[in-house]
Amino acid sequence: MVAMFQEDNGTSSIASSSPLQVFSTMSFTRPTLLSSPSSPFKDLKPEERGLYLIHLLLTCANHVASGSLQNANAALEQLSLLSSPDGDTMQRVAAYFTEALANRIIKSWPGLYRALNATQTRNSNVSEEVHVRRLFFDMFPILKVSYLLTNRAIIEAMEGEKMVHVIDLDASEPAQWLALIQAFNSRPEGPPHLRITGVHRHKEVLDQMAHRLTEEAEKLDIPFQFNPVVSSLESLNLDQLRVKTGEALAVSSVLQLHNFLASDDDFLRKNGYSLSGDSASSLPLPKSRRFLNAIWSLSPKIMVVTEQDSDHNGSTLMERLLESLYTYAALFDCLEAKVPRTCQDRIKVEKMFFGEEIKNIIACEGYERRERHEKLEKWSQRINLAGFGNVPFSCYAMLQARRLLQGYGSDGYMIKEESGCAVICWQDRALYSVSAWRCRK
Amino acid sequence: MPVDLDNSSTVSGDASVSSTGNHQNPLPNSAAKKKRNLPGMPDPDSEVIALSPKTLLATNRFVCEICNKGFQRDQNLQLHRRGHNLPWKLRQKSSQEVKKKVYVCPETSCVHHDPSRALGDLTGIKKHFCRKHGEKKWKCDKCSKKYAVVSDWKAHSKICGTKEYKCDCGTLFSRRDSFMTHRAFCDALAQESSRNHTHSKKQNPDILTRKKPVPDPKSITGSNPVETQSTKIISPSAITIKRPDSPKTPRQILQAAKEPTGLNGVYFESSSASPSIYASSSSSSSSRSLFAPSSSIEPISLGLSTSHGSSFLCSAGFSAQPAMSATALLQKAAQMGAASSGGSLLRGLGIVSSTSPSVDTLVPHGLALGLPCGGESSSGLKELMMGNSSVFGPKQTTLDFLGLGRAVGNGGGPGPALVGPRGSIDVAATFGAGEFSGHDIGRRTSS
Repeated sequence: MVAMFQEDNGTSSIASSSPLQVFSTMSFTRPTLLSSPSSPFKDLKPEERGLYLIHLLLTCANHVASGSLQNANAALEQLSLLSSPDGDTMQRVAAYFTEALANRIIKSWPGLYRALNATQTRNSNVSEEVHVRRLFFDMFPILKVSYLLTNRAIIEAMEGEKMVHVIDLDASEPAQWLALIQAFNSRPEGPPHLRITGVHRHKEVLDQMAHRLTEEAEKLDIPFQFNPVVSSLESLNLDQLRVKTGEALAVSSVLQLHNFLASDDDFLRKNGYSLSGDSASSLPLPKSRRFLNAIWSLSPKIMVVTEQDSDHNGSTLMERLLESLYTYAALFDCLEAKVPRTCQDRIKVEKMFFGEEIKNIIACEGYERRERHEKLEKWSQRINLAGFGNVPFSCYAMLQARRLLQGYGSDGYMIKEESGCAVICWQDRALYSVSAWRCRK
Repeated sequence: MPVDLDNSSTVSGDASVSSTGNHQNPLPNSAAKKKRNLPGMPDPDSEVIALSPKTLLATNRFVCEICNKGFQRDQNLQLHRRGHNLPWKLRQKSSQEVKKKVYVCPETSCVHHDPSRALGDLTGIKKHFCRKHGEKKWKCDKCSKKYAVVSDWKAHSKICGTKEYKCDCGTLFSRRDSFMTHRAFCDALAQESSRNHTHSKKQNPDILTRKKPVPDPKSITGSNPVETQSTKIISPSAITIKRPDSPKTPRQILQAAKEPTGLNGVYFESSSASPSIYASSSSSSSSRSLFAPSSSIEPISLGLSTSHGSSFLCSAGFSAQPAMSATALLQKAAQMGAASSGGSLLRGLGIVSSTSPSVDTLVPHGLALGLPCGGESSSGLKELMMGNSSVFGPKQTTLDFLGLGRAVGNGGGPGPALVGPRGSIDVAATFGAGEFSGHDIGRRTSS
C-alpha cells in the first residue's frame, strides 16, 4: 500500500489523487459564497479562510512528505493566493509556512536551490540582524523575563562573592548586563569585581557591547572588565574564555544550546549511541553533551539556560509542522495583540526572525537544521546528565517576572513553574523556558 | 586565631590607649537614664572595642575568674560571683564609672570597621557580624529565605505564610504599604474594572485605599487602563531621572519597592514603551472575547450538520466577530477534526463534487491524510487530517484508513500509505532525512 502511493503521480486517475485536484476540477455551486468561478476565494470570511489555510498547509505538507509534488504544487498555489504577510495572523503564519514548504521542495534539487540564491550576498547585514534581534527584545517580554530571571539567579548565587566572572554565550543585548551591573551596584555588600566575557560571531556587536557596559560601569565606579571573544559557539575553545581560579563563574545561554543538536543526527547515525547512555569516557559523545561537559568542567557557580519550550525536533516533517504551527500561531498572536498590522517592524520580526526559524525547521534537514527546539523536559535531562543540578528561582524572582509580564499589557502571557524552571506561556501554549543550574559534584 | 584582641581607642581617632580624661566626672550612670546616641554618630568619648571574630561569636564572653564558668551576659556573671562569697573589695565592680563602649566590626572591608561607624551595642555588633559576614545557617521552612541570626529567622518564620493582603491579580502581601503601592499600579486590577465598565467601582476603592495622597500616578491610573499602562512606562523613566535627588516621593517608594532589580524593570520597561502604546484595550478585549465563542462552536455546528455550509458560518455569527486569532483557528480546526460534523464547513466552501453522488466519501479522502502520532496538542488537527469518516461521513465513526468500506472511486489512496508512525516514518525518511536525492523526486514525478 505504501509503495502504491509513493508511485502515485499526478497524471493518474482522479481515484487516487488528492482532493485539491478534485477541488480544482470541480465546479462551484455555492452562489452565496462565490462571485465567480475564477475567484473562489473572494468572499471567504476570515475564519473560513483561516481554517482553509490550515487545511491546505497540512495537505501540502503531507504531499511534500510523501513526494507527490504535483499535488503539493497545487496546494502551494492556493496557499500563495490565500496567504499574505500583511494579512491577519493566520494568513501571515501560512505565508511563512508556505514559503518554507516551497523551499523544502526546491532543496531536493540542490543545484536549483543554490542557483536561485546565487546572487544573495552571504555576509548578511550585521546591523540588520542586530536590529531584528532588538525588535524581538522590544516586542516580546520573553527576553526581558529571561534576563530578569538570569540576573536574579546570578545575584543570588553570587552573594558574598568578591570576584565574579560572567560568560555570555551570545552577547548581543547590552541591556541584560547593564541591568546586572546596576543590580550588583546596589547590593548591600557592594559590587564585586566583575568580569563579563561575551561570545559572538560578529566583532561589531561585541565592540558595541563593550562600549556600553564599560561606560555604565565607569559611571557607577565599579571594577569591571569586558572580554570579547569573536567566535561561533561550535568552534569555541574554552581557553579563549580565560576562566581564572578563585573567581565565581556564571554562564548564561540564551537560545543557543539547541544549535548543538544539529550535529546529533549524524552522530547518532554513525555511532548508534543512545543519548541516555552512560558517560564512560571511552565512548564518543554527541556535540551537545560534549559542550555541556566542557561548561561543567569550568565549575560554574550558576548556569542559566533560556530555550524554546516546544518540540520542533521531530524526525518527520509532519510532526514538526504540526507542532510549529501551534507555536508560531501563538507567537504571531502575541504580535497581533500588541502591534498594529501595518507596523513595518512587526513584519520584519515576523519575516526575519520567525520566518527564518520556520524555514529552517520545515525546509532543512540534518546539519543545516539548526533550530532544534525541544521541550524543557528533554533539556533538563540533558543538562542533568552532564552533571548539573537544578536551582529553583526564588519567590522574589518569580514574583518580579510575573509583575513584568503583567505590566506588559497583553493578558495572554503567563509564567508558570515546572520542576524548578520557569516557563513563559501564551494562553496555555508553552513558548520559552528559563532554568538555572549549578554544578553537582 | 589570635587571643582576645582587646585594644581600644577613642572614637575621635586618637591613637592612644583609652583616654582616662573623663574619670574626673563620674556621672551617675546607673542612676541617670542611658542616653541613646543618634544612629551613626557614636559618643565621641566612648571607648572603642575591637573584638576578634572568635570573641564576637563566642557565646560565653564573661568568664568567672574563680571557677572559669562562662556566661553570655555580664549580669549573669555578677550574679554567679555572688555565690563565691568574695570579700567585699573584690566583689564590687570597679568604682570607676563605666565608660560607654562601642564596638567595631572585625571584618576589614566592612563599613563598620571604621571607629567612626562603630555600633554601640554588643549584641548589635554580634548580630551585624553574623548577618553580613557570617554563614546563613538558619533556613525558613516555608520559603527559601536563609538567615545567619537566629532571632531574624524566628521573626521571619512567624510572619512567613501569614500573608494578609491579596490583590485581585493573585499576588500576596504581608505588608500593608507594599500592598497599597502594588494595587495602584496593578494592571490586572485596572483591566478588571474597565471590563466591568464601572468606573465608579474602580475609582472609589482606589481613593479609599490610597494611604498617601499622591498626585500624578494614581490619579492617572484612576481614569483609564490604557493610560495606566503608559504611566507605568513613564514613571520608571521618571524615576531614573529623579533618582539623584532623595526626597521620598511615592514614586521613590515604588522604586524602592522594586529594588534592586527594579532597575531591571526600568531597562526592560522603558524599551517596551513604543510597542505598549499599541496595546489598545480594544484589541486585547476583542481577542479575549474570541475564545468565548469557540466553546459554542460545537453545538452550533452539530445543529447545522444538515444545513448547507455557508449558512453554517453565517448563523454562527462569525461574520460579526473580529478576526480570530491563529491559535483559536487551530483549535477550531482540531475540534472540527474531532467533531463529527465539521465537514459542513468544507461543504460551505463549495467543496462539493458535482460528479460523485456520495459527497461524504469524496471529501474525507481528501483529508484522509494519516499522520504519525505527535504531541497531544496536535492530535485534534491530526484527526482532521486523518479524515475520519466520522468527520465528513456520518455513516462511520471509526477510522477506516484503508477505505475499504467505501468503494467509491477514491480508493484507499493516501490513507494506508501514512497509517501509523511506522509507515509515515518510512515515507518521510526517504524524503526528509539526510540528504535529499533529487532522484527520488524525479522518479516520482516522471510518468
